[in-house]
Amino acid sequence: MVRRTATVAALVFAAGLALAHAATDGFQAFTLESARRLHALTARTPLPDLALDLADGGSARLSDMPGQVLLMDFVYTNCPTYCAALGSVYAQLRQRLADEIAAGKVRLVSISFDPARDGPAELAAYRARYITEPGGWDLGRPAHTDDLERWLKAFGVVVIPDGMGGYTHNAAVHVVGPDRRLAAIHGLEDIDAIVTTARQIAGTNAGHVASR
Amino acid sequence: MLPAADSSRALVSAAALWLALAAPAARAWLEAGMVSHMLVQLPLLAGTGWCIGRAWMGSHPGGTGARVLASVQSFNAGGVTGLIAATFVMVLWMLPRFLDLARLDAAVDALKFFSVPAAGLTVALSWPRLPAIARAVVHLEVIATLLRFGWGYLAAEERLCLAYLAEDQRLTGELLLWLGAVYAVAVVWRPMFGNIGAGRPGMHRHGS
Repeated sequence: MVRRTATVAALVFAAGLALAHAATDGFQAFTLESARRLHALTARTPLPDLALDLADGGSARLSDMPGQVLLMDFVYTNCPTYCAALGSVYAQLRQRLADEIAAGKVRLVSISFDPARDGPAELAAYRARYITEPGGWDLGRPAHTDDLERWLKAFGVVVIPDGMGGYTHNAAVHVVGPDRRLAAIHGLEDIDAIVTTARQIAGTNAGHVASR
Repeated sequence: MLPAADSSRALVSAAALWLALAAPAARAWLEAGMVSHMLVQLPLLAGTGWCIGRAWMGSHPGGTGARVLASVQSFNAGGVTGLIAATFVMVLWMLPRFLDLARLDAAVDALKFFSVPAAGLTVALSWPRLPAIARAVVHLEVIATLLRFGWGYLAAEERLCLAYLAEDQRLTGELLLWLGAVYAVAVVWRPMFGNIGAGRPGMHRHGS
């Protein structure tokens, strides 16, 4: 019985390790957020082509938006923390990628996940906190409230109430390619990585290695 | 070995508890907070499996239950196989990724509702067979795991779970550390302090 146990126990141990390895993407992703960012690099998730009410008026879908590469995030204007950080990150991105934006290769897009409270006016006011001249940064909210779930699910954004009347969410910058599929997800603090990825996908990286 | 009536009663109670936990309202309520998810729901689920395991071990000798049990236990000498399997299952469900997935995805939650009781059942089958030294090792590993996870959740600079708030995470970490400390004390109490207050032969206890 002992020999049989030894064999089976060894098999169970190996199976357990294999399971743990597979379940954590090779012991790399112990959190859902790191799994999400890892998968974004290979999954090329298609994104919803749903209508957004824009801060500058009118409505548009992702397929209507100019710019090869879209740098997208999810915000709500009453947010005291992450969204304020995201706002200033976007202002910096707009500066660093000014050439690409002017050439129509890159565009910034922020979507509100609080469509009830964030109308075009609120979104425009939010943007005005961070930049003075317009251009290059579109803000919008899902035209239909039912669409919000589809947006959040496609990007892997999880929004939960923060117990103080606001929301907490996994804030990040999502890089979307010309095919309107998710190409990469970067943390807010990683501005260099966001700029590099955007340039890479927009095809402007060749020959501009030092032009940061 | 439990008498047959007690066995079936334990079985029914365990099944009833499992069904109660699986009810959508109970699931939503317990999984709403990180503390109740990890420190109430998971132990209760493991407990249902443990009770079923104990009831199984008390089954009528010579019956089908006993025969299946015997063949299962034939590759569980010293309870080693069972403890290894149960450890993997319990540790995986305590990770942030799987707490999140269980809360956000019903299919993953269903997997949890079967694998965690299975782990409990496996422990019930394996624990009596563990020699004293192996039991001591298991105790040490449990304490170490509680402290590791507790510290991990308490000291983390960012939110590790998407479905839970940072404050929830901090509280869970703290409770895990306390749990580890209490478990450690419970384990060493008897060996170190013996049965204080037990009457010695020939002496009457005062005031009892």
